[in-house]
Amino acid sequence: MNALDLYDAFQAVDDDILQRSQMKARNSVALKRIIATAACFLLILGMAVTAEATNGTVSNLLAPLFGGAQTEIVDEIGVPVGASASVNGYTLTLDAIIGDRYSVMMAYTLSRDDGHPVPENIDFDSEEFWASGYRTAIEIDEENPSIAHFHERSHRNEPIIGRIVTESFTDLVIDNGEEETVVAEGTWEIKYTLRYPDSTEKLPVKAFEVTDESGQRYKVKSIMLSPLGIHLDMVLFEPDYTKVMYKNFKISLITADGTEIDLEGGGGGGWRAGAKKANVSYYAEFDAPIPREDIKAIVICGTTYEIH
Amino acid sequence: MKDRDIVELYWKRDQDAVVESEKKYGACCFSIAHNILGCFEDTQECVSDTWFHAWNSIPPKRPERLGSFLYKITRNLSLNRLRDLHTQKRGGGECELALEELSECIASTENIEAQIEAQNLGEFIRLFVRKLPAREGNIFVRRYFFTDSVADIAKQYGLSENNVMVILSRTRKKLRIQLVKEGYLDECT
Repeated sequence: MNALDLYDAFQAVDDDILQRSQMKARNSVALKRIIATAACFLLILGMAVTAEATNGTVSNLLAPLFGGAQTEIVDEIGVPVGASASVNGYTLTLDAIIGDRYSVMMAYTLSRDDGHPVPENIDFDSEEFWASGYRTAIEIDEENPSIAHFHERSHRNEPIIGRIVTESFTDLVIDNGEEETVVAEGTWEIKYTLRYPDSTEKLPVKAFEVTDESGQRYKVKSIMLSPLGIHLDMVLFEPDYTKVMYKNFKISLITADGTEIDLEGGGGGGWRAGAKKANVSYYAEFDAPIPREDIKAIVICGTTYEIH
Repeated sequence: MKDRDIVELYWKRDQDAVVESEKKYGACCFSIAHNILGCFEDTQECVSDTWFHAWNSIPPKRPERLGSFLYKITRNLSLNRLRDLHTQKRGGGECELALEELSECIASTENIEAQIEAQNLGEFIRLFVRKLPAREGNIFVRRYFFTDSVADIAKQYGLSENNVMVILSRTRKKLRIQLVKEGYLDECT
């Protein structure tokens, strides 16, 4: 046996796991997960809670997301939620959300009901979510070790405000690198409404063309800007599946003080083989909220769009 | 178009099956082949052969997950091509790195107890990956099935590259322990 044999043996990985691994971050509604959730259904001790978000001071709740930056914006467009579920001695609470028309960030707290410290390296064994995105690892609170925090970001290529969404987390486990120990079995289900102010603004754009560094041409049809990110609707000319979309698609912001901030994002679109053009979209998120008035221009593949 | 509808086109011997397959899975198949072969011409040939093999396999097969079915065909064709090229070069790029990483699990070929049949090793890997926690399993598969770069995996899962490398390293260590436990490797290797 050599490394190539071992590499070849990955051919036998189950199809559902291959499919699961393709979903971005934790958008993993894999068969295994569905089965696991079904099997645990009777063991669910906690109650799913539906919560309607209400306005309030939330910058402290969302501080783990942005490190306390831009509290004024966060308080303005973020909302507290407070939906929670308790299972086998652990309570999971969705503290607050902040989002725009296409993307939302969620701040969660996991707490031990008995007040003991949350174990190191704890994590959920599986999750089910409603959109693509990512979740951070669970980090124990330095001041109060009986609680821990994590956050998520979810994004869809369509407006999400007003949707009722459900997120499920199953089995808390500790993974020490060699073996996994289940510390609390069950499913924590959080159901809530994406109800928050729509801070997204459609900028007045006269369609213009850009070319990325791999030579792919796009026509930018609309630009949606919020304090949290930017969403572009575009036409991609002569789409070519042999090229990775957006691999060399550069986008940045110019702020009022002249600073250029490079953004990272992604997007998608579909087309028939041989199609001459395709409708595609792109979303880039900001690391921390940026006030609208601080954004003076957007640079897309070298073309500057000034904002007035 | 949904997978089952595309599969139905194959069963009806409708050539749109290939068009729809290419449209939905062409980019990923290309990426798999290119990550292994690192050569545009060879990659294109393997992807084209993928549609040919799928056309000849469905029917009688009726894959529930068409994407995985096609990815495996592409990967298999690419690995066969890689073996053909192996005397000259070893693909290059991410595949080269992935193979180097996996060779850590084997350490040396001298102390291996026996030649393991590919099928047994495949079943071992299948079970090993299935038992991994979801995140570790996904990352391991992205690296060693799809041969994605560490940077791409980090981006996909919202992790730092260092975090991904740590997870891969820990999982390879687990793999090595299991290989020893199951008798695929000597403990001293």
